[in-house]
Amino acid sequence: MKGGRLWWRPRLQWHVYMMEFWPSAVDNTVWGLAVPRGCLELITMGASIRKMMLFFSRMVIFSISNARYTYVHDQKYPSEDVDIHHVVSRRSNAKYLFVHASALLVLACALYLYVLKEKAISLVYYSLLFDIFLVNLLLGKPVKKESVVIMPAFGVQLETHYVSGKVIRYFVPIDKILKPVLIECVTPVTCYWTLSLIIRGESEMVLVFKNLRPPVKMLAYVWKALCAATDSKEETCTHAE
Amino acid sequence: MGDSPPQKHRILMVSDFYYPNFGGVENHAYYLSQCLLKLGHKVVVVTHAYGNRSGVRYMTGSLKVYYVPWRPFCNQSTFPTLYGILPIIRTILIRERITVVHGHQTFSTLCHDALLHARIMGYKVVFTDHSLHGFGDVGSIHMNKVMQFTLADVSQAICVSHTSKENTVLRSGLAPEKVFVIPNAVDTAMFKPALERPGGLEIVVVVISRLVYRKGADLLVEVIPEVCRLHPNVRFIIGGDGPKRVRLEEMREKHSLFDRVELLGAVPHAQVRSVLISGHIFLTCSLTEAFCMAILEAASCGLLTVSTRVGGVPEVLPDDMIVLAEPDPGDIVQAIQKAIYMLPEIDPQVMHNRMRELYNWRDVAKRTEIVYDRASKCPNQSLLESLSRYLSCGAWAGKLFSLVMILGFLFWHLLELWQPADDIEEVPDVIFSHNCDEEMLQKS
Repeated sequence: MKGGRLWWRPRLQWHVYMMEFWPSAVDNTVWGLAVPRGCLELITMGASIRKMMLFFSRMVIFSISNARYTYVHDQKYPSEDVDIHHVVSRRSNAKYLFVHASALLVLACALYLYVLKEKAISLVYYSLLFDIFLVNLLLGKPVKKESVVIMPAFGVQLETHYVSGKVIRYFVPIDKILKPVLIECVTPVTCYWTLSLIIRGESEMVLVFKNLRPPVKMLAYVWKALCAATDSKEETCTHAE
Repeated sequence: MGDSPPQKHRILMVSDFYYPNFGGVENHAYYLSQCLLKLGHKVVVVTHAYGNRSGVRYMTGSLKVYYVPWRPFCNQSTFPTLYGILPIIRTILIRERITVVHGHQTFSTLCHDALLHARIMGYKVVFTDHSLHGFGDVGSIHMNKVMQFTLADVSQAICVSHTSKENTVLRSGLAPEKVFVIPNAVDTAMFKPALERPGGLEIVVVVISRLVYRKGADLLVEVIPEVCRLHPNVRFIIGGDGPKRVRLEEMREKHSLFDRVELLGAVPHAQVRSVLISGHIFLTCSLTEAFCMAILEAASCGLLTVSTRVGGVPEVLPDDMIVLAEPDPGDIVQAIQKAIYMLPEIDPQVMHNRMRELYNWRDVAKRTEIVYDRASKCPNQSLLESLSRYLSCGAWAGKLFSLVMILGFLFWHLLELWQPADDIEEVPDVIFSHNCDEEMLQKS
């Protein structure tokens, strides 16, 4: 029995180490597996306790919202270790309902023509395919949240969270980041702001919040945090505060 | 002073013609923008993309230029799509908080579309016409109709000469009291006389223009041999390129004038001054000109000008600085002879100083500011009032124009539903802080 307890201890320390350096990988499942309830009494006092206390406290100190996005500055870790910024998309129910109502309307018309007007059954199949195409075109692959995890000692991790639960992550080492920049982009039909990272040795910039395109008020906070992490001077000579 | 304090305008300049392309319209829009910025106004320019130059650029004095990624279609103009430009123009107008839209040049489709949509959205619009156009050929008739449509509801218009004003009023049906005359100007700091005039018995006549029909290259072919025959000490320097260059080459061969007629080809604008100061007389044979910037540049360099009496040219310079002739080879030859006799009395430095007082961009900007103030005082008009004005454009054209306006109005409201104005984020104004200046000083 005593030997069993000693075997558990190194494993616990390993998990603590992992959580410290890859906080985005931490979730309740891992924690539950790593520390069975019966072994809590074995955890030593001091650093482990403090880390655990920080982990359990989910204080959210700062957030901004508008009609389409919510910006959250997650402060559950000391900002000199890990700095997390989220931009969450507020689902547009009107658009969602409009698209699905249109699809149902098309399908209803096709069924009506088939049942009452004796049209060919292929019309129903075509309208069904058109509905699927319409839903995919207008709703696309919905992105629920995009996050930036800034670890000044290591780098910046960009995360894209989809509604389906899939998560795509991209890590940029801190020494490869030359400068974070706020840029105005112009397309044939609109203009918007983007936050980009200029990467050493790359001809193309890495876009932060590539899919959601949040407003510049939210981007400015992330930009300041990235400038602080990369020791870049905040070039305030181009825009008023 | 009972007037209200002068208000600061936020101006959107729209044209297909802008730097890095080069020409009179480009120059005018750029210098006017710079002087308006110095007067305290905010200026934003919208043009189409030039090659790789696409997106937002900042020029001297924090002049912001939107190179919208629309492809040029013909002669640097974008394809006329009527409604294709509305979303981007609306976005820029809202995010930059524009108060006045200023379009440049009749042949700019981007300008016409932007003015049209700005009027639909209720903005004040001002139009500057930089060219003269005819009344008889198919292209001119079509262009005049388009202009009548676009300018039917314009707040104010600007022309670069009184002749140009007559031309524009006749073509577009604008009320004459809505049209202001504000001439072009010249950057006199860039065009200075040589410290010492080219001496000797030789007299050099300089021609700098595109070698095309409109610029009178055919007249040049007949004038040069005659002048060379009458005055053995006269030499010609011709700068510029174009389809008529072959005729000039043939003329040189035919009359054995290789040592007295020099063809330079295309002259970059940065080298125009060095070509001008190598001569004594500047010759232009244009068949039509609204204003003619080249004459100003030559006079600023101290050259006596010989020009055809066409368009707005007689308004440009006082009589003792220019010799005018009819667009006829014999008359031009006589004018050149008269200029040669006048040459000993000409002092280039005195001429330059007079040019600096007569034409400068600050004066142009102040007068344009008055036009903007006048435009701002115009009352707002509803769609119905505008439609009645469009209906008077013609029996069938009026109805077509009204239909275009109604569809544009509906499209605008659809855009309001799709992307409300509240969702479009306003851009903070550019301010150069002291830190930036210090950094620049440290770098240099």
